[in-house]
Amino acid sequence: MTGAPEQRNVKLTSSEGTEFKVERDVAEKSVLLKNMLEDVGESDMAIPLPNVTGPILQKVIEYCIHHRDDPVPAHDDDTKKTDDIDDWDAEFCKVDQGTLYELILASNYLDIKPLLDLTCKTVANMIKGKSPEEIRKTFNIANDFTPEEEEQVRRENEWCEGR
Amino acid sequence: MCRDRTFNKAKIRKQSYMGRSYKEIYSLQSPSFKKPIPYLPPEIITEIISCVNEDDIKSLYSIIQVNRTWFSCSIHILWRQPFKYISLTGYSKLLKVYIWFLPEQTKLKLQNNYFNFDVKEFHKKPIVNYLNYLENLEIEFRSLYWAIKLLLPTLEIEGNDEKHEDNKQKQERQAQAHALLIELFNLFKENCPNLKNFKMNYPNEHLSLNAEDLENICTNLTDYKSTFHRPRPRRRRNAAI
Repeated sequence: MTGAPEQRNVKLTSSEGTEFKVERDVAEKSVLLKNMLEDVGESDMAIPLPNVTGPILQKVIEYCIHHRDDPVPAHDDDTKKTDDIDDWDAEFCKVDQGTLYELILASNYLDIKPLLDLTCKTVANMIKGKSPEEIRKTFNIANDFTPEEEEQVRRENEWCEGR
Repeated sequence: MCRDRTFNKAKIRKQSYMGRSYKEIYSLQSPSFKKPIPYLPPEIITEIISCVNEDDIKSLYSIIQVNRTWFSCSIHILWRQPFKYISLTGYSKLLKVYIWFLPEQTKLKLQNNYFNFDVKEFHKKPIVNYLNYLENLEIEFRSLYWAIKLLLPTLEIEGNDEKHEDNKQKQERQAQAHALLIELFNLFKENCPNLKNFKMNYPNEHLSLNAEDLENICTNLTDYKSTFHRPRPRRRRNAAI
C-alpha cells in the first residue's frame, strides 16, 4: 500500500538444505512466513523449512510469484466452488499425484490458503462421481471398516441413493 | 535462541490455526472409531471434502464409505440438512433411521396404538448419533406424508364396502402419519443440539419457523391437521372416472 520500493529478499532453506531467495512480498503469501518475518524483523538468516522439499518449494514459490498481486482472500466460505479454477492454476496443478499431495501439505504447513484451496479443489474434482472403491484406489487409501461397519454405514445412508 | 523462540511462536500459532479443525474432527468421531490411518492428515481430508458441493450427495455417499477417517470427516455434511436434497424414497429411508432414535417407550406406544411394524426393523442402533449433526430441518410436508405411507406396512382393514374401506384406511394413515410426525418433531426438538432452522413447506404456503416455533408446532400440531392430507390431482382424475 505504501509502495515502498526497497524490497528485501528473504532466504528460505528446503529440507535438503537448498537455499531459495524470494522477495518479501512473495514470501508473505505464506501466513506462517509473514508472522515469522514480523517477529524476527530484519534478518539475513535463512529460514529453514524442514517439511518442504526443494522441488515442492520451487513450485510453491512459482505459485506465489504468479499470485503476488492478488488481494488477500476474504472469508473462506465463498471460495469453495470447484469450477472456478482459472487456466494458469489448472495448468499448475497438472502434476503427478504425489506432487499434488506434497503441495497440499506444504501449503497447509506454510499457511497459504489460496494454494491450499486450489490443490484441495483439484483433488475434490478427482473424487466426484467415483465409487468408494474407486476413491480408495485413486488415493491409495486402506479400508479399515469391518465388513459389518461398512454394511451399516451403507445401509444407514442409502437414502442418498437414487436421486 | 531468538530464532528458537520465533519458531515456537509460529508453531503455537499454527496449532491454534489447526486447532479448530482438530476439535471438529475429534468431536465427530464416535468412540468406536480408532485412530485414523496416516495417509493424509484428517484436517487435509476435511479441507478436500469441504470442496465437494453439499448437494452432491452421491459423491458424499461414496466418501463416507471410503474408511473411518473419511467417514468422520464427512458424515456431518450429509446429515446437516438431509431432507433438502433427497428423493421420495430417500425420505422414507431417512425417516427409518430417525425412527431408530425414538425412545423405546415412544416406539412401544406407537406400536401399541398405531402401527404393527416389524419390531426388529425399528430397533436398530445407528453407528453414530446422526441427531447431533442436524442443523436445518426443511421439510416438504407432502413428501413427508407420502414417505410415511411408503414406510408403514399396509393395514388390513375389514369392511364390505370398497369405498368405505378406502376412506377408513385413509383415516388410519392420517392418524399414523400424525402420531409419527409428532414423535419425530419432539425427537428433533429434544435431541438435536445444533438444530437452528425448521421450515415446513405446505402445499400452498411456506412457513418459516425457528427453533422456538418448533416447540409450538409440536404442542399444537393438531392445528395444522386440515392441511395434512390433500388429494393429489391424479387421484381426483381417477375419482372422476
